[in-house]
Amino acid sequence: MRQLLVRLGRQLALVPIVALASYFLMSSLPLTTEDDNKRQVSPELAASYRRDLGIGEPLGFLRPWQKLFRGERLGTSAQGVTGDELLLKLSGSVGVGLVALALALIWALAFALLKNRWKRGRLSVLGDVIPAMAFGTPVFIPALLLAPAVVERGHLLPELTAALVISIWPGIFLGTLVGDALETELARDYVRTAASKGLPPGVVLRRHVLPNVLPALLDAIGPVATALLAGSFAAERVFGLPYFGQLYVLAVLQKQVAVVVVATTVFASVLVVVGLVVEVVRLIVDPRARESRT
Amino acid sequence: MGLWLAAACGPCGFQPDPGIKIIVPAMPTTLDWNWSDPASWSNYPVMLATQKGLTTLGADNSVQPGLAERWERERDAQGREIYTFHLRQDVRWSDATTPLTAQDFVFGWRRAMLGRERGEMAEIAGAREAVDLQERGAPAEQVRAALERTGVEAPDPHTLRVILERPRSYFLSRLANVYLFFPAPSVDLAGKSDEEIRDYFDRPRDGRPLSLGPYRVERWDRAGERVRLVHNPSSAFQPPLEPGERPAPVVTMMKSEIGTALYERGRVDFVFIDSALALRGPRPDDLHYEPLLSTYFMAFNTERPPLNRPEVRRAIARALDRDALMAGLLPAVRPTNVLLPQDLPGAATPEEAARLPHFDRERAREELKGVSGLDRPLRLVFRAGDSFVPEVAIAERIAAQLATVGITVTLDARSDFSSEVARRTPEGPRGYDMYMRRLGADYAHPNTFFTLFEREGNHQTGWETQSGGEPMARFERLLEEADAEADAAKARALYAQAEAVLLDEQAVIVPLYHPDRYYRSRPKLRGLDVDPFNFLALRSLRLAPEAGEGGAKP
Amino acid sequence: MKRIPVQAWVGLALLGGLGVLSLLAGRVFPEVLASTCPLGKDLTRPDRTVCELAFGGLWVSLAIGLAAGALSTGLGLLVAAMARLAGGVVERWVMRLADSFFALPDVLVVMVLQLAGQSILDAGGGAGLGPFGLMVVSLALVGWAGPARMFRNRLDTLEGQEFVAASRALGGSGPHVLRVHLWPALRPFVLAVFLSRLPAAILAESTVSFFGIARMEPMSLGRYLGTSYAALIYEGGTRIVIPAWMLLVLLVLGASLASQALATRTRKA
Repeated sequence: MRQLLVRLGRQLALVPIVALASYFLMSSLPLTTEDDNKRQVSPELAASYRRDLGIGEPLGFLRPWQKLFRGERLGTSAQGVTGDELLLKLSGSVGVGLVALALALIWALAFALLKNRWKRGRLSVLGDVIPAMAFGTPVFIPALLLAPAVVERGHLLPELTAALVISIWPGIFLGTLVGDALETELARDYVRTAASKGLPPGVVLRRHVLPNVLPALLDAIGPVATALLAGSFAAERVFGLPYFGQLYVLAVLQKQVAVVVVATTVFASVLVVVGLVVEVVRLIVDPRARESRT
Repeated sequence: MGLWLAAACGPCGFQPDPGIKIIVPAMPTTLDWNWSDPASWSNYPVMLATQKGLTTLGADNSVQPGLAERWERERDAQGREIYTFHLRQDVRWSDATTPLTAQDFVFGWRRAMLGRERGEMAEIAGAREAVDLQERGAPAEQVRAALERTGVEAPDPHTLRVILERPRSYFLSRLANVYLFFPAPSVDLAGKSDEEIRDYFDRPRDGRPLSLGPYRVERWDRAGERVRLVHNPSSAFQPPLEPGERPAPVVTMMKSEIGTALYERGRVDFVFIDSALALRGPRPDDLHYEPLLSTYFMAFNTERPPLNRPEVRRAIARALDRDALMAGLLPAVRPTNVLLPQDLPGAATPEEAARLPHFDRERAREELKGVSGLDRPLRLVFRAGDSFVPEVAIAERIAAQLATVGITVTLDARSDFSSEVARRTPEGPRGYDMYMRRLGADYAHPNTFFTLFEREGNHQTGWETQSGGEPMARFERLLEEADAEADAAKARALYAQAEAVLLDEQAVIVPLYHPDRYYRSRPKLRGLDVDPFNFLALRSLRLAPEAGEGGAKP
Repeated sequence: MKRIPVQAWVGLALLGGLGVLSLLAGRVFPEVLASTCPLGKDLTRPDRTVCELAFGGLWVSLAIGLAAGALSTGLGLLVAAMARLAGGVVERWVMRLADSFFALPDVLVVMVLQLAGQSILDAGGGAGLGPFGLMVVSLALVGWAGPARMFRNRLDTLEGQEFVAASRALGGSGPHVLRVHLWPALRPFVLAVFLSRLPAAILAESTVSFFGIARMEPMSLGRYLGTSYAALIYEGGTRIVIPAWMLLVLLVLGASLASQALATRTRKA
């Protein structure tokens, strides 16, 4: 148990590290300089930096968070955000991301099974070509192909299509990992034993193989979540979804530094939460994890 | 999973707004009309739909009453011009209770004098002193006292007195469309801090900000890049309705990269066609074309060698073949070497235009031979992102053309264009070498083009420092004389002289072409068009009577 | 197993072919390309053909990918070697730092680094690094974590081997063992790691250029895709977007195939 807590603690440490690192990076830039002669941005933006970043103050790195929790606006009046806007946008992105995760799992299983089937035939080369194609296709291209059909349609269609488009590459990636793990497992003795006992292949898969494949899957959820997040930026832009990814890109483009710092930390927190959930699930699912390990 | 979705989906699935949808190429940068923004053209649609000025421009560009029902004009002993406006008594802000008072103008204009486009207010008596005080960092009370002394007064709630430094014949036209001059709801804003005031405008909620026009801003979703306007029934300026027509209850302005595709699928009702790609192929029936009173030009940083010499700048102006520059980019183009478009009263005659720098490559090469300092590449800055001007293609062609006369040009497309152009290097002069931008008329008077280049204007070229400021002083004097001149022919000649100072003698800018606008609009939208000032006429928008049942279905 | 698998050859051939093609077509003989391009002119830049922009973009993307890949592999190797030499707590903390770097999406970090770098460049600092250099540095700063982890694990495995123990027993110091014994065993692995970074770097660059945050001039494949992808919805637009997209996919395919095959081979070795 202590091991678990230590592991969890280490993951949680990421959030303050990111918060501090991004803050100090931004405040040391010529962008946020106090000197009016060297100002690189419009006066309002410079004024917003002075207000939101507390540069030069001892605990200045807490200032954006202080303002956020008080419900005040970060950034200029025209392009800044408040805490509740941030949460609202975040919930939208998380919703899309969850659907994308589910879709990715489906893609992964489908691809893993297909890859297994192809291994023996002439189509085995597809098992390499498809991941490469998926990886080599930036998210905005399939997004654009689908966009005219769903944008402004409502009924959550753009969100679902965005989730679909985001989930392709992470799903295939997950599928290759699962496929490898599946391959290893299927070569084991117990599978042969189970099959020779007369169990249908589906049951063998479901009851014996998949639980052993699950740890590999769980290990990969972290990177998959990261890839989903990365894809959501482009997808939200193309589909016109007003959620967190779009907010982040606009904040960077408009140089709303306080928003960038806060949003980056929020991203890190989301990933940390994903990691924590994975750990908990692993604890439940994998008996090996429950044993204490050094 | 469904529960998760429902809980997590935020502004629940963000359903498409009912009502009219208009695709605009850019979202407003601010809704604070007095504080404004130099990149202001994207703010106009919302401002003109939701607010109103003292005057209105009629169809023939003549000045008609707006918020002021009548006015008087007189000169005083010091040569200043005094306007006394008598406001309409029946105008209420959109909450249907707050009346419009002259104090609203005083409040708004004083903010504008210290705002980001303060050059536009410079002609008001005392404005320059107040700005100077602020630039020098004087204490706030001093600045406020100076503001109180400026030429905007409200002797009583329905009378506004404005004092201009000098007579300006175009002032009344300016009041119609230049939204800096629109009133602000002083009742709501009195006593608030600067930040709170800006929040009031830029973060619409609870029926604020109040408006006077036929629409009111209800929501501005920045991440989603859409602005939602709702009809303001208490406005005194409803669109003229024919029998059966009704005003649009909701109008959403949005930005989308696939606007044309959405229009064709019936999901939006109006789209600007701003890219050359979309203009290829067969011309659709509902495509409209509007030649604008606008000029796209290249400007020089006159403080940076080698561009600090007028002969070098003139030579560069001569090196550009505008016809070749624009060939094939758009269906119809109007290349030009003058600043004022032909349709503008006061534009230069063809003979005068011929005297201004025009394409002559041999001469350009001659003049540029042996000029020192041209071995370093010159940086050409322009705005990144989509625009109805094919900026990337023009920039690349300029680079190619200037290469033939031995000048290397590097291109820099910036999303932070306004700040980049204004940014100064540690040594003092600004950082760019040349930039390209568009200038559009706000009213039908040459002054609308020249304001940008006056001393307080946002031209960012530094040409006010050239030759000790003498050319700038002469330029401004010419403009004043031309404006005070009653005889149209003489005034035109004076404007032509001013243009010559700008384009020939000092060669501060190089005009390239006069842009046009294309757009597509559904027949059921009546009264929504684009005028030569590039204003989207949302305030006259009406919906056609429906043929039977069925809502706004594609 | 000394034999390099077929896949690796295919991948390397693909990469090499694309490189040579872009060099010839984009740089050495651009006029040939301009006159024979069957895809016509680009619509936003009517003076340039699609082929010229696509292959020119390929060249820039390859250059960025190679430079960023090399830099991140080098950085990763350095970090892993120093961590192993230091050993113990230092090593653990360095690896944890690398893992935390890995946690954030690379696109996000590159965006922030671009924002920072552009500000520094505008202020005149940055030692004359142009947008190209800035992008390479940003990608390398994001990409060193993966290689570091891979190298560290490989070093760990290698050090369990007997020849290392023998060398230590004979009195070899840490750096000596590293240089003389471990490095030759590590060399083939370096190529695999480098090739695995290549597509990641190019894709991160293309996504950031798509948003307009990076100012890549001359245009990279990513930026070209990012600025002209909207042509897909207009007629005749596919001929602009598809070639660039296909080139990107082929590039990624080549790098992935080669790197996977080389990595498997060295794993089995």
